[in-house]
Amino acid sequence: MSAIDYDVLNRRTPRESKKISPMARRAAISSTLGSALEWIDFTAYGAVAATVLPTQFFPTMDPSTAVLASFATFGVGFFARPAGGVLLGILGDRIGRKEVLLYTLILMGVASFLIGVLPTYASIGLWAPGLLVFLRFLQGFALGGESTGAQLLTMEHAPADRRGFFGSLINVGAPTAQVLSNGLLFLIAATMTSEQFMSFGWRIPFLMSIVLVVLGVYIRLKVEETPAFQHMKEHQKAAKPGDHRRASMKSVLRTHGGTVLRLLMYWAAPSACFYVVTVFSLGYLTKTVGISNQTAFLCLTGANLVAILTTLIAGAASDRFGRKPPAILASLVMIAIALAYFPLLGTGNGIVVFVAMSIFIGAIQAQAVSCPRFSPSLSRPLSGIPAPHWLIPARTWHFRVHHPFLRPG
Amino acid sequence: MQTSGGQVWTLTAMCVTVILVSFIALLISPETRYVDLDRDE
Repeated sequence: MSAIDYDVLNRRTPRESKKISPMARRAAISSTLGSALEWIDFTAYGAVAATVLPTQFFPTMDPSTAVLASFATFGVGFFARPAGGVLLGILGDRIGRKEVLLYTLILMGVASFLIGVLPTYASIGLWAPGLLVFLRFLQGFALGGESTGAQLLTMEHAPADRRGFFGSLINVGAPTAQVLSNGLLFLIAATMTSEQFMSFGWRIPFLMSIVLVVLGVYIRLKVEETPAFQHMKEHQKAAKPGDHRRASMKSVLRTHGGTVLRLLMYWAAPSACFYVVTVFSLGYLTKTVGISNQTAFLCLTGANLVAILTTLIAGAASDRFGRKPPAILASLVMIAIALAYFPLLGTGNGIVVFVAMSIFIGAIQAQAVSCPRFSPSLSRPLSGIPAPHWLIPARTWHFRVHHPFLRPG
Repeated sequence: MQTSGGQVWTLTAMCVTVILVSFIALLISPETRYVDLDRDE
């Protein structure tokens, strides 16, 4: 089938209510916690990129250039994400989602720990920013694979009529990580002098990665491989070389190119706007508007708490009303708040800033949670093609990252 | 880092543009609520 007849698919698969199995619950908890843990490391880097790294790793540059250089290292992770999504996705199709998720967690943890012990420019000169870029690449690479696998693990275990809500649990990882990492940095900054924080306080969240890795690996070892993956392996065993059922990047792009393009387009907004709120806004508020670091971090943390709620509500709403209505509403809210966002931040009023951030990131999360479900054909056997799941993170070709997927459902 | 008003409006324009691109993709996407992951074609 060169084109997908979604109407036919929908008629053939009437909505069925299924019980939530213990494994579905375990997979959701595992993926949610695992994603949150990995996002904590990723987010902590974003937070210190705006405040600490310019002076510690780029001290010879003027302040503006140093900030740009620091954000450039942050951006390296975004370029690494598609590579991680594709390579680890292919690996996931061969050895299973569960195995790959263990690798991504360990890789992220090790890279983050090494950032925590990395000497600064004052100690090793240019090696410091060079190694920082490399470790940042590893972080992004791991997160690319994580996003893909966690979504699949959860979606493929979830009951058919609850995939929207179960999928939203993974999307909760990013705002939860924002809350935890920023909250931790806030606590550290509040209990240290500025000199202590700049010297070693900022390293603490990265050093804690080892603890998170042990916890995450323990959780993931409790989850079984998904039925859909086992089904796909049976298809692959039955397929001969050259058989149209044997999946390849070329065959998937040929038969599902339109779907891939739609995903790339769809993820442009949540991917780009998420970092405008969570990273750029911090620098803008503290350097241009002139409000304190603590106030800016508190506003962002509060906004992320709101985003956790909107994510879950949007996921549940997509099960009840369909995938498109909640996403359309979220998109309209995003357009309105995007136009008013910077004028609202410019007021310098903490409450106004909090409300603006909450609306923006809340709508971003609500929109993002719906996206993956518009591409069912890429993660399900269709027309005999067991589609590889490396295409799921197609959205990561945009600047960032944020989470995973083509989840049908 | 001093951010000029021009830079902020450029960023705003970028956000609005990508949101509109996403919105178009959303409108042309099919409703997939009832698709069954486990069923073969």
